[in-house]
Amino acid sequence: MSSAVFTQLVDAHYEALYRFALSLARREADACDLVQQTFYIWATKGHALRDSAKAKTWLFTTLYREFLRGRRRDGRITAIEDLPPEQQDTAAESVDQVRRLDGVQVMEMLQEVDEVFRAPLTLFYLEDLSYQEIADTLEVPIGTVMSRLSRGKSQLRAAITRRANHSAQVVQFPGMRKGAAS
Amino acid sequence: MTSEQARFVLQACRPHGQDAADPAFIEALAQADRDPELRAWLERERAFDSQVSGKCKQVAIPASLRASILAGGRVSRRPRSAWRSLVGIGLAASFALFFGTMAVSRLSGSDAYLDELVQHGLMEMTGPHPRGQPLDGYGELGALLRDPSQRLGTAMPIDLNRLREIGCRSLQVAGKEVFEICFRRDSYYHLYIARRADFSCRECEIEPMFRERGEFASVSWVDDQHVFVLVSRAGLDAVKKVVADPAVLAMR
Repeated sequence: MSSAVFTQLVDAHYEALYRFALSLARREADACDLVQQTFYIWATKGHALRDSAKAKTWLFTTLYREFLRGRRRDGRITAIEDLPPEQQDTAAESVDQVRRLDGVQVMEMLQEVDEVFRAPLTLFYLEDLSYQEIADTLEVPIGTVMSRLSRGKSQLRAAITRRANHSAQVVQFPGMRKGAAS
Repeated sequence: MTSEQARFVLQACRPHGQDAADPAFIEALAQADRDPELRAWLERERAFDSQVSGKCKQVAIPASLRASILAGGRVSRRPRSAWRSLVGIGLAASFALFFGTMAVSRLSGSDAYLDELVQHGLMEMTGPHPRGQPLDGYGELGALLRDPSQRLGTAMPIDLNRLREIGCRSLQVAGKEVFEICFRRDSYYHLYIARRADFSCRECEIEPMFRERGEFASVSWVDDQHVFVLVSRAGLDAVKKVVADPAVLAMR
């Protein structure tokens, strides 16, 4: 692959891959590592992919695999069977609560969602992928994607509500900066 | 389909109508049209999804990430068969910073080719790397490199023709031949050796130069015949332990 083609590929996808990685890994440095590792694997193996239209899916799948590989190495992977069912309702307040948050705060809330639900949820929100595309990327059945999206959204709403409730309980003194109290 | 089943399915439906024609959603969407409560829920769900989606896309991307990826890509697009293993390129960010620092810290007397040689050496440290010749094959030079009591300097037993004969790895940097010898003492090092004749007169005047950024460190020096660059990921102290005193390196 020529340098120009590789650069085009990086420019087309690295931002979305970074945001996906950040939602999974939670730390900027780890997210950068994951993205770099993904493009590194592309540079060494990607030429074997005959259908260039599938490059995007390939990159996201590879990043997710690398993330899972690292998690398995760390022994911290979550078993889906252990996770309780969540309620599925969307309160009108949730929408307003999100509106008051900035991008970083919403990403933090997303990072509170259990990992197994977070991956499809991030692809849904950040990449506007369809359930079918998410299934292809994460290599899981369609039904599983739907279930994980449902549960993931419930957890996200719960996290946002928790944050909103916590913020409501904090009385800011005039002139005090955020996070300065301790 | 019950209302609960419809909600479950519609949570996978994207908020901007992209999935309106998807057979998986048609029945649930039709049900939402008939059921005011379900329709109100779907509108809230879509508003929530749109808000979250928009906010997440506001997250800033680290400024150095693109450069780091491209640097890593350059390393890895070399012939696959030459490499023995995959090594992570998470170091590429530090690497880009190192180069950035080098660009502003060049001293008078240094030159672009020497900088390129140092950069090339550091690139080799970060990427996958071929197995080098055993040091035994280098004879006296190998013994010198292996011996922690010996310091590298300006009087090393180097014969470039001999290096070529024994299959020492050689690289082309700016079209000039550079030999690479990898060795380990308490840390891992790459020594690059180029012909002094390939350098301009001005470059030959350079003083020994140490560079450091994070764990990356290098030193370059010259003798009558050769230009040397030693690089390591073990930091500047590790590099200084291997080479002679700068005053000795400057003698030629």
